[in-house]
Amino acid sequence: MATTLTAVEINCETGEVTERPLTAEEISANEAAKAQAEADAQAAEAEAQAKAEAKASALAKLAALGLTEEEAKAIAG
Amino acid sequence: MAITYKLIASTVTTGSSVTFSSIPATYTDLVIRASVGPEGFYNPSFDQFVRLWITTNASSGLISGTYIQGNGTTALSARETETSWWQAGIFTQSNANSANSVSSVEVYIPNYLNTSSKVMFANTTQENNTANGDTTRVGDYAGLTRSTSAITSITMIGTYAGIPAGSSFYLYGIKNS
Repeated sequence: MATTLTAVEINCETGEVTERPLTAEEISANEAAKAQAEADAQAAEAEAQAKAEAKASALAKLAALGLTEEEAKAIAG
Repeated sequence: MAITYKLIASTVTTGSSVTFSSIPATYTDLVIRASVGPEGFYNPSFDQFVRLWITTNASSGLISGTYIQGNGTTALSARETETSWWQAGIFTQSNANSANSVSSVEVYIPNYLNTSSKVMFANTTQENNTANGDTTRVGDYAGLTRSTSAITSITMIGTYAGIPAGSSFYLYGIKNS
């Protein structure tokens, strides 16, 4: 469980590995960027999930009307 | 026979972020392989998948990306544009199942010295040793950075709680001859 925010940097030329606490500015910048990216990703995934659920609901209703699964999928796409 | 696939650097980390800096300009392509886990982490505030985010050259240049993910039942696809961080995978889950979570990620960056936009590709697998199938995912990710500088550093972070301790990151260089 990560509690202290630290940055690990590996210098590929020298092989030196440094670990240091993130500065307040780095934490703020990273959190803002991550929060925005995370929000975007969750919104996109929620939209995709809603579409999938709507399609499943439509297929179920078509099946209730007596259509075969193949016929229902032909209509719902 | 010339060696065309060479380990540049690696680390087993306890940090919240991992940066490969001063990447030499002596290769054609770059590959990152990451093994995350076996110990995940539990953050009760966030019952969410933890995404792996990547940026290059300290977030210089806007990034866009498209990805598909599946968990065996549901598939989804989404696109992100004009961001500083590229989503390159899901590597664990920040809930009680995380202790059983193991993930691997491979990132491929061809022509990283290009001075126009550069593309990036990643695939990830995430598996939990539980009966709950929703806790596993696989995904493919495509990204593009519009930075016009050669890539000299790559930084990786995880959403919410960072990167699980003990995770391994390897940076390889590929030469075309």
